[in-house]
Amino acid sequence: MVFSSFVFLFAFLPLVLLLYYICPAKLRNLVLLLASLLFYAWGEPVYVLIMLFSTVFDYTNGRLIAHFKKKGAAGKAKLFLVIDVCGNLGILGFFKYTDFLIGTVNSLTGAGLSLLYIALPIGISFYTFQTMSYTIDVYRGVVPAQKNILNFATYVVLFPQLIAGPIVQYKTIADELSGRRGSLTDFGEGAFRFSVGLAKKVILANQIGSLWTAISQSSQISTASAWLGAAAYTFQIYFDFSGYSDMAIGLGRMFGFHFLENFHFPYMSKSITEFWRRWHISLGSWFREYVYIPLGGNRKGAKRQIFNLLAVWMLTGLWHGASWNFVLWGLYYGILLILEKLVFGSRGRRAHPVFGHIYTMFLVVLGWMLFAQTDFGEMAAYLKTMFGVGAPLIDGNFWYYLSCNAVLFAVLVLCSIDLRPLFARIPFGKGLRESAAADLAKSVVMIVLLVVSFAFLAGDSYNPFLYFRF
Amino acid sequence: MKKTKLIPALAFLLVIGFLSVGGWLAEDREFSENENRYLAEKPKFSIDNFMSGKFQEKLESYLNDQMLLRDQWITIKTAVQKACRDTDIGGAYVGKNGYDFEKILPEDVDERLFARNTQAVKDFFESCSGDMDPTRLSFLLVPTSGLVLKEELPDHAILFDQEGCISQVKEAVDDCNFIDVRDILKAHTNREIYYRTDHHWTTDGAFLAYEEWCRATGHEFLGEDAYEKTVVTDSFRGSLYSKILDYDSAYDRIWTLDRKGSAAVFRVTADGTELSGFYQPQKLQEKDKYAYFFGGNYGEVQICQESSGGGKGNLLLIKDSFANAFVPLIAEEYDNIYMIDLRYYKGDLAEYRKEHSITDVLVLYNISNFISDKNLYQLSNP
Repeated sequence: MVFSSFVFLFAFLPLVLLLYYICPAKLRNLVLLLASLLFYAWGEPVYVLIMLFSTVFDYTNGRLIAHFKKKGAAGKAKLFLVIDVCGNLGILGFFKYTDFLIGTVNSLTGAGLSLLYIALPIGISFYTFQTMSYTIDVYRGVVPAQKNILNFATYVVLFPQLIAGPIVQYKTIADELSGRRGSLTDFGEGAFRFSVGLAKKVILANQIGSLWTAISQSSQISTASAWLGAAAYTFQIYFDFSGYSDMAIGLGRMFGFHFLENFHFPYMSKSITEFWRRWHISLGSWFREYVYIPLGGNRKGAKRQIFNLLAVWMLTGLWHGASWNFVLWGLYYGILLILEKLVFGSRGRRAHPVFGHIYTMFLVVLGWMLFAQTDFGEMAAYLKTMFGVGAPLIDGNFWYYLSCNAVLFAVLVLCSIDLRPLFARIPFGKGLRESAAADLAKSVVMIVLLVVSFAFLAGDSYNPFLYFRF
Repeated sequence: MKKTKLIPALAFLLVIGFLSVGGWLAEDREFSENENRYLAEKPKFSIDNFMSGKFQEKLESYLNDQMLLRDQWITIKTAVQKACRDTDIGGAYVGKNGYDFEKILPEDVDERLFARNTQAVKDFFESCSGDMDPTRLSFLLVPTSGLVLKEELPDHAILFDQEGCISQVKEAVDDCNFIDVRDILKAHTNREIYYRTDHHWTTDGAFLAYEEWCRATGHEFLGEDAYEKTVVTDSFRGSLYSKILDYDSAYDRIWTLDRKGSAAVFRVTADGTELSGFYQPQKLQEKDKYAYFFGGNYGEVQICQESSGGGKGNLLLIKDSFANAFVPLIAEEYDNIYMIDLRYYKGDLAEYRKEHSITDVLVLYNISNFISDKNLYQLSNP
């Protein structure tokens, strides 16, 4: 099930909210757990079993690690950590990367092994990372092991962040799992956040996404159209993904959970380093905490740091999808970050901010073109067009695409900028901002966003069938 | 001390609650006129259906189709897109002066299907020319409004190369009387040749083609003054309106052109049932008012001119819906006209020709139907 579906919006969510809030506090985790299992089963019922297996597996390992640590048997604790990490990576590897591996072996050796066509369990990349954060942190002594399996299961399958993140680390919500105080304020803030996310996904991302689809599938594109398409994809992926994160954070809050932010206006960055501090923050911090720093980070000399960066970024790329273009995309960022950290150094930071913005966005847009196209032949052809090889500079189609989307682009740019400092300068005074009038205004904005989102959602399924019963 | 914020929570619950409860309570609609299709029904739950994912899929389309005030939601979407100066809406182009256009991209042209259809017509004419005079085999390809009314299209709107497609067919199917109506239509763009909100041509468009047809087939053209124009409705919103659902959309008129002082009497039979005539006024009460012409499409329509003294010949017309507005104009020129729509008619055409002593053949298609039609191949082996 996805948040931007009618089943979720008009059946699942209202029912779960109703059940959750009429149940006494003791039963609420159970309601969430069962609802989350249904949510997950919606797409691929059988895969609920993997999820339940993961839950029991990680719960048991967590308890064992804590048990052996307490007894002072560090070796045994470590053993169960290794078992746990291998188990999780094994599941992820089997379901996500087996066919990729076979395909690669085939193309290298011509072995002609047949693919297994394993359907990817939804959200597996997210929940395996989440549960690993738990056992690793238990091992490190950052959090105590969760004794209540119900609470632990609720964490693993919690539907708001289940299928597209953010990667909520266990320690972030450990306390809220066993006792949280939901309030109407939280609920309202969450609902607002959810509506913003829905609008970002359904109105902005989907609309500009159709431009990218049109351009990338067009039989004749000019250099100008290719750049317009790249810009369209750049906005699509941001508003799609951050919209989904907003919805997750909002939903979490409606049930009393406080997740960490996942995006912080990444397209305002003045360097690639800054971009990755603002983009998919939960993934960046996961890799930093559980891979980069354990590998030694930047504390073991420049050579080792370069190796660490390349390794981490290759893995980051691979995490995004089982295809070589994602590895290329990861390495691309690895190299850019190495250059920024070790070559440009402080000189880069002293450059003019306008230069920083242009330089960053140019590379980010280019990066997305590596990300968007899994076929290297198509990717190369598209990049050639972008750089004017064998394509006209500009054509009529470009002007048409632009005229249909100019207003949308302007809205996208505005929504990519953090305007809050600007609002803060308006001399309303704090009183007004906290007043009922402000709440009312917020509610009106929310209702408008919801109504327009529903209109666009309804539009997606509206198919006049003109040649039927002609 | 922070106050509890009640209003946003309440607002959210109200909107979601109203739409979900309202959606479940409201009576289900069976058929959507605008979409011209039956809407999804409530799915039945079973473990099998759930495990296979069918139930989930059907529930989603049920909730979509039965959403409260569904068409009004689309209208909101269109209004937002128009406010953003988008002209590519719902799979159609919103042009100037109230004109909407079919959106057919270069990529949408299936070259193989197009070649196969062209070959099918060529084959058909070849098989006919065994026992018929090739000058009595005619082919009329109607351009779409996007070609004729270029000025009304949004600037730079992307369309397939219609001019090229028609020329290609004209060149390939050379052993017939190719009636090229492009120039005459383009020369009269000051008239209403196409509906604003429907993809069909108007009676005036058909009339211009009729003038060209007369010239090409050697029939006498009497001129416009010999015809009586009768407007039958001014509240037609056609197929393009249905795609866009613009609250601000224009209304089209439908009219007829009848020869003044004509005493001709016709008997019209559609798939074996006798019709009251060419025009079906009861269809003006429905959504698709273009069905005023013959009441829509049938596998076979026979038009017998009962008042004819004979000797005018029998026409076999292989056609799509564009012919419906055209046929009344040529009806007096034949003893019998047999309209065949290959989407519904599956019989043997060689046999049919013999049985009805066919003397003339006309193939009439709109170019966008012609490139995408999947039934024309039947002409290859009649």
